[in-house]
Amino acid sequence: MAPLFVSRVPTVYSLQQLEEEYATPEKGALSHPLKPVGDLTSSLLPRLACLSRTSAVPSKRIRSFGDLQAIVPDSDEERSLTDFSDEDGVVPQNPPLFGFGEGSSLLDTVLLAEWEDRAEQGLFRYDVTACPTKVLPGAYGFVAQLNEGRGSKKRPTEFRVDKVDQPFDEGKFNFKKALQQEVLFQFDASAPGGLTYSASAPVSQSPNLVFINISPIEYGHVLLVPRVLDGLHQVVDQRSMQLALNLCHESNNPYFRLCYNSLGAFGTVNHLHFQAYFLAAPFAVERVPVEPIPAAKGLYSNIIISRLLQYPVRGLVFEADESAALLAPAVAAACQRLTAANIPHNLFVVDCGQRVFLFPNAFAGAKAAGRVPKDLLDTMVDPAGFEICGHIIMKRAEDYEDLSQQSIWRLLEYASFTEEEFEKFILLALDL
Amino acid sequence: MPGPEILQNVEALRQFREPDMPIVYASPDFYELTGYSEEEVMGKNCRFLQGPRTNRSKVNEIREAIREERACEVCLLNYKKGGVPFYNQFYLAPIMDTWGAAQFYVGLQMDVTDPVGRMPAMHAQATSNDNTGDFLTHDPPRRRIDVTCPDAVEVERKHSHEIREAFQGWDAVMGESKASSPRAALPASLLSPLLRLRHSFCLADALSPDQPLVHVSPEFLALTGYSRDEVLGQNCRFMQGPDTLREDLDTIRRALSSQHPKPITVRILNYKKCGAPFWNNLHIAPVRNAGGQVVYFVGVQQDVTAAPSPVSSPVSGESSSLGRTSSMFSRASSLPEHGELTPAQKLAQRSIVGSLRVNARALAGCPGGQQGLRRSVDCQSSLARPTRLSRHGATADF
Repeated sequence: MAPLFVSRVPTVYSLQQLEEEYATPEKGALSHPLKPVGDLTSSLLPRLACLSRTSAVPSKRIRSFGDLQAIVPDSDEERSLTDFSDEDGVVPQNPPLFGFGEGSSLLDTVLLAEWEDRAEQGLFRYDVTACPTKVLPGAYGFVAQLNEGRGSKKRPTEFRVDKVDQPFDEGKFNFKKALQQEVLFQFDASAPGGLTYSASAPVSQSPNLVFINISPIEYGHVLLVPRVLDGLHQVVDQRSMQLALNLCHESNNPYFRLCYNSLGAFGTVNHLHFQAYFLAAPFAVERVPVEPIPAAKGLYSNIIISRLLQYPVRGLVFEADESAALLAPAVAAACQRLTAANIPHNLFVVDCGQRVFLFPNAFAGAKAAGRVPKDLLDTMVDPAGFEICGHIIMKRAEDYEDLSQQSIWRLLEYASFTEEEFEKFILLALDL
Repeated sequence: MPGPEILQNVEALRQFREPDMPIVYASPDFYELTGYSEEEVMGKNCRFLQGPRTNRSKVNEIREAIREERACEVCLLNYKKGGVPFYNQFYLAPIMDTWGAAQFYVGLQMDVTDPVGRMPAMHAQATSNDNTGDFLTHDPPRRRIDVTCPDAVEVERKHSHEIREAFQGWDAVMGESKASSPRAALPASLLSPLLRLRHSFCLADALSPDQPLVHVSPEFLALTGYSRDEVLGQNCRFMQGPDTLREDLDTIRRALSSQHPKPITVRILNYKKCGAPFWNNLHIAPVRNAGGQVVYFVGVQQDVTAAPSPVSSPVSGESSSLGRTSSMFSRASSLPEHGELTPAQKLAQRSIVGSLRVNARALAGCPGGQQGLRRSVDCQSSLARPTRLSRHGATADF
């Protein structure tokens, strides 16, 4: 069969994709803000480090039984303050320079602060908080946003959509070409010393970096790029999944969600990355009833694998009882099988890394085969992970006004496998 | 706290306007049901009832109800002290003050676990297609998320209504809010995240004439020496004094009053209530709501005065007056100051702005008549029982 291509406008993640609009920004706190990330070995970058969670350490969010005193005060907050290391050695004063109550975290603080700082520097293409957003009437509560600035003026490029596994290509855009000022911090999830933040730290051999997305779809939209200098292609493995779950875990904020789009499921950069942002409202998919898959019982201890019910896109849900760390092997194994079988897929991580949704995505195939009606194509909405889960970004004001639960349902159904396909998908993904 | 005659049947009362919604009252029945003692429960958030098999969609429902300041009823798996699970038909309802802002939440728990230990006792047939697990031993079936126990809900609704009625006549709860203006009561979706931020900051209503303050943090009050009642509803110019430079004020005004207001940082000489001046490394940012409209200005203060402030003993008894004519601090502008903010201080200022932006964006029931990211009342209940997945092209059954 001949390769399938679609014409699509790539999402502009980095300033380096926009040479023509590029302007010299103010110098930031970074040592080499205008050098590409590929040259960062001699640079200093902020660094956030946390404990490794690769072993099955029980999550602190979920209580273990016993004495209340042992679980309720969240001692991490105190620890994160005292561990705050400052460039000039300033120790937090009393009262602390900044602090967090129950439920907020150092990672949130750092991420929001650095993001706001980049916004002030004018690195984003638009102010996403000026884009109107609303909840659509209906029990699902789909969230829509009108974002007229996100579309690129660039010519659509031919993008091969029928191959999930494509080798990394140095010639195409990748995050080594992004500028260092687009980096918010290094994220080291295997620090022996616990949670620390340093405003300026040397760069490790191949750091995991958290970048801004200069075309944000919500406030705090970032890209997590594992081991950026290693040039990994867009396929989830256990180590990178672990890192992504750690990021969610450290955020400890139920409104911070992370998503992964494989190639063919509207991932547009073939350099391994996850996306995440804050939306202080529920995603529709978080509210949907689920049904455990009987055959998956006992497949992994302390993980329940279910399927979504009554949702336009069929999908699986991985839910961990005790520790988010347990999910990585299960989810990554499923992704590897899907990649081998060339099935485009999306991941959506919620509940601070304790619940992961996995969707096979049929939309690009349906689009390339001409099965998607023209009126849906005209809205230019490609259902990637965030869209499938209930956050729809509209590029035209008239489409935004006309949007309804029914119209989103109709669009998302084209991303779904049929029941027969999905039943086969379950057997394949879980190796049953 | 309310007298026992009001509270004798309350299961648990949670103070909404404190960080993390601590329990401020629990009934004897609550202790009996959960096995915890008063000292283990007071001041804690109710989430200690959750455990490994608690359904997260249900927890989401409760969180959203609080964000939207409405009642909710869910049946979820909770855990007693020692880890014994039970199905809790939980009812949560806000107790509103005179201005319609939630002050307390009352939560009613009812153990609806079937004695046999298989499923909620009432209306068990509603779940007949569930695989009934032996959850009291090890493995509770987690999918039971749409079970409700209508009989229990009916009892709880009535009970909750009585409690809320009783509260309406009770001034100790509603009294404080009567003094403030209605605008001073921030919506829940914004207030709860604000209460977590431990730094001096204030929030001004950008849409009202003269942009009055609608929220100040405890650290702001500690820094400036004012009480909450003295500053809420006021324009924050009360922090200016004789040596505050006009050009600094103009810089702020220009940045904020333009068509596209921008964040601005100025080092400005401000004054505490006692009249003592301090160097304020002030960061101000416009904050937009879901409609993209600027609804608040947030100001984050950082005292960068290098030496202790001049002794403030000269200030006389009528120091509560906001006007200030004293020339005691005429050399205030020569007050020593620190240099650049430390990275930690800068981080703190920006993170507060960022946190506000995230939450103002979803603001449920926000100023300016916007609905915000809030479902309309008729859509706020849980999703219907699952029926059947629609096929491609078929009309979905809502």
